[in-house]
Amino acid sequence: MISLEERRRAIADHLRSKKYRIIIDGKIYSADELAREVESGSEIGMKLINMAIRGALERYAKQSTGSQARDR
Amino acid sequence: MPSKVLVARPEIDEATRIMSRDVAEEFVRLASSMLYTAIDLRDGDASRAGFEYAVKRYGPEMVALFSHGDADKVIGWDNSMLDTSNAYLMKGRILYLCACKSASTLGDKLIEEEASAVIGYKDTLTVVTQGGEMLEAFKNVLRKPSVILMGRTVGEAYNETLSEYERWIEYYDQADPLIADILRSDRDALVLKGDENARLVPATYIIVANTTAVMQVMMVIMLIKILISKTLNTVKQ
Repeated sequence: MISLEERRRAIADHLRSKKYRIIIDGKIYSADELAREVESGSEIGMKLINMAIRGALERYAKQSTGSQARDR
Repeated sequence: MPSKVLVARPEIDEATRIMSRDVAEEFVRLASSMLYTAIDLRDGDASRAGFEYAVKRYGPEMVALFSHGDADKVIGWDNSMLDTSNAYLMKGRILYLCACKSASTLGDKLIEEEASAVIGYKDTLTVVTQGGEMLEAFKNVLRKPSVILMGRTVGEAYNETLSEYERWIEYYDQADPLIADILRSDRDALVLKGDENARLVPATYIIVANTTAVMQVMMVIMLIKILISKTLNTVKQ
């Protein structure tokens, strides 16, 4: 089980490795700025972390449904 | 009379400039190519006064707003362009609110004021750009409700937009999961309120129908002429 701290670090590292700029809540953030928001646990940062957690859960559910179907 | 489509895209800052250029522009282009009367409100014209004036003057069947938003409003050039206090102006119209959160409280109010239907976002809309341009995935999903201009119902447009989200999510689940997660969040914020069977009648259909009618009248006139000339010939003989 990945901890919140590890997840934060993983998202921040991932953002820094990309050259994206993200418009969130009407503001544009560079990858670096957003990585700092994620690390500090600000409202915007937490929003992104929650998106990543919900996304991971959906991906996991999809994968397990797929593998169950393959096992049958 | 061709249907009218009003697009408002105030370029207040960099985020709205990107939205205007990468998404709204395509709406205007498509509306014009489908022979709708496209009313394109930009910058100062996309103020509250400019917006209300254009709605009253042209009576558009569809209104598409591209800007910042909040639960109860869509922001215009200098103030809120559409909010709960002027929602009554949208009675009978189809709306696409491409702005954060505006399809929540404002969306409900619009339906209460008898707008035909509203497609929009009930929560934060997050968009990823690279090199000053929106990623193709975000351009495609945000432009997708434009299928209403091709005669699809609002319900069909909503479902096609969800399918477009799914297509890109599947791609980014492999290519870059964080982008997939952002797309999932936008997908979950997308809502449809009101009559899912509402639709525009594409201007091209009206022109084709009218052309057929004109051709039918011309054929009847020609037949009458032939009959008259034959009758005259018979009388002469």
